[in-house]
Formats: sequence, C-alpha cells, structure tokens
Amino acid sequence: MTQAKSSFKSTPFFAVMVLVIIALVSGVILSVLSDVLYVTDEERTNRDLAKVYTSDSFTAIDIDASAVADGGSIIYLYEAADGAVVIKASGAKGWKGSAEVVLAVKDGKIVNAIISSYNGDDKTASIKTSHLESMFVGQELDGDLEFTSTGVVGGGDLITAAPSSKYSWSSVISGVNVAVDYLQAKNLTGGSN
Amino acid sequence: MKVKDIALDGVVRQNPVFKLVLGTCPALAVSTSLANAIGMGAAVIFVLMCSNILISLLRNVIPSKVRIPAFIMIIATFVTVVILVFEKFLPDLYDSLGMFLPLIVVNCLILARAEAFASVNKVGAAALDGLFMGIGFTLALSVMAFIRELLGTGCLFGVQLWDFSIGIFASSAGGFLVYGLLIAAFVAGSNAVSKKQKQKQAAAEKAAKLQVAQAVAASEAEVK
Repeated sequence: MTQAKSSFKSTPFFAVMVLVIIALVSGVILSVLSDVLYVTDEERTNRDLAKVYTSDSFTAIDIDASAVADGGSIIYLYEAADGAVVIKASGAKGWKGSAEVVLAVKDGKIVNAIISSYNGDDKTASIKTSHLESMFVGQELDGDLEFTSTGVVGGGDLITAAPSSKYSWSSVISGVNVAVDYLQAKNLTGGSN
Repeated sequence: MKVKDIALDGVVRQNPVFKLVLGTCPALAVSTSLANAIGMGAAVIFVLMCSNILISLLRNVIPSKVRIPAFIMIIATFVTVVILVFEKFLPDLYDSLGMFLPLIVVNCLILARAEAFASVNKVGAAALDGLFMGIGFTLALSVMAFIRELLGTGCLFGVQLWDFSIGIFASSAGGFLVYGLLIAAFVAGSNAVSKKQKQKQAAAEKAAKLQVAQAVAASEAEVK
C-alpha cells in the first residue's frame, strides 16, 4: 500500500501524468475546433468549381458507373449554366496517393484543368499550373485523345518539359484520361460539337 | 529584459533565418512567392507566440525529463489549429503551402525558442520573444520571396510586372543562391554596424580618459 502510494508520488508518474493531461487538453481543443472548422465535401466542390470554371450556377449530373474506365473513378460531374461540363476524376496511384483532377470542357475542348487533391502524395511540388495548361488545355475531345506521361496521342503537341515528379505526374495523367474517356463515352462535350 | 532588446534580438541581432540559420527548410521552399512567404510568416508568428506563452506558463509544471515531448505536443496543437483555420478560410494559401504547414511542428526555430527562452522566462517576455522572432522570420522570408518572385517570374503577389524573368531564381538552386547572398549581406551589414559602435565606444572612452587626465592636471596645478 505504502509502495503504491509512493509510486504515485514519484517523478516518472508525475511526468507521465503531465504528458497525458497535455495530450487530453489538446485533444479536446482540437476536437472542438475540427468540428467548428470542418470543410464539408459540398464546400470543397464549390471551391473546385469556382476555380476551374466561371458560371452562375452548376447542376449535378448523375454518374453512370458502367461507363467509368477500369481502375478509375468519377467523383462528380456538373453542368454549368452555359452548357460547359466540369468533371472530377482520379485514376492510377502515383508516388503515394492517386491525384484527383478537375477538368472543365466547353464546346468539345478542355478549357481548364486543376489538381484538386493529391491524396497524401507529397512528391508533387514540381507539378505546376503551366504543366497542366501546356498538356491538357486546348485539347479537343475527339475519339483518339489520350494523354501519356510525355505527350498527347491523337492530337496536340508534345509538352516541352514534364515535371520531375514522374509517378505523381502519371497519376494526374491517368485521372485526366479517366475523365476524358467518360466524357467521350457519354458524349458530353460541353455544348456544341 | 527590455522590450527593445527582445525586439532587436528577434528582428536583427538574432534574426532566426539570417543569423541563427533556423527554419531554413521553409525559408527555401516557401520563398518562391511573396504571398506564400507572408502566409507562412503569419502561421509561424501565431505558433511561436502561443507556444511560447503556454510553455512559459507551464515552465514550473513540466518535468525537465519530458519537456521536449511536452513542447512538441503543445507546438503540434497550435500548428493543427493553424492548419484547420487556413483550410477553412484561406484555401488557396493552404494549397500552396501544402506540406510545409504541418512541417512547422518540426521547425527548429519554434522548438529552439521554447527550449532556450520560453521555458526560462516570464510569460510577457516569452510572448514578446515569440512575436519578434516571428516577425524576424517573416521579414527574412519576405525579402527572399520578393527577390525570387520578382526575378524568377517577373511577378509580385502573382501580378505580372514584366515579361523578363531569370528561371533559376524560381528554382531550388536560386533559393540557395539568394539565401547565401542575403546571409553574406546581413553579416557584412551587422559587422559594419558593430565596428562603428566599437569605434564610437573607443572614442567615448578616449574622451573620458582625456577629461580625467585634464581634471587631474588641473587639480595638481591648483595644489602647486
């Protein structure tokens, strides 16, 4: 009994208790803040849509899972007020996670492309907006369009320099190909064409 | 410790980036644009101030054997708060700072100030130290980012000023180059200032000695 009492008063026990209390208090504070500052999926989607295409309103389009390429996924698909379509997709895994890309397509052409998330892939710093623009923007959604890590099959020019994050870049390209395949399969060209 | 001393130490005499060479990783990585540098600086000021205040308050409670894990837990809590706030209210900055936001937890500057200053000083002084060290860090990052963004991309705050750009300044190699040159300039400047101060001090001492000698000579003359 006396031994038990003395161990409660010992320095190691006190040190552990201090650490436990700090961890508990931090945990409580962060739980509350996380709840208050949580960014919902809807909020994230609205941010993506605003970044990739300017429109007064967007209407969600149902996704046909049977038309999605193997190994890929379509996260959402929206139609803008002027008929342009915005699609978010992901494909093969890169260095760590699989990149999620958002494309805006208008009149049969890709008019904008952004990376929405890398899903924890931390080797992505070298992928710049200029890479996305030079590779994807302006490409027409004809039947042969397919991107590879060094250029475009079936139309468009080769990009001058690929980013140094090879695996992450291939994940981005895979995501774009999944989106392009789906749009082609469903004949969604964002207006005319 | 005087406020003026803490301020001068944080911003100039012990500048974390140019003098103590702490927080080099974010300084090199984030200084590609001025907006990123200011965003990172604001995050570091918040984390430094809050962690310094809390660590100073708990300095007599935290046992010395577990002080480092305790400091890290406190710092990590504030960094997580910054991440949550940035993700909610500043999504673009959050995206562009990327992994360097969570990496503030292991920023040497914050742990060094917690260990060297906050854990042995009163709350007020610790808070001021955090504030001015953070300001010193932000200023250093901003100077680097100003040079790199302007020369590397021809932009400032993302606004194109001219078409001319020197690509290397936007790359990692350019970061090291600018950092090295700025450290050299900072050291040369602080050496020149301390040399001037020494000269002033020496002149003052000489004048004082002369005055004493004159007074002694005058009193000897009076005695005679």
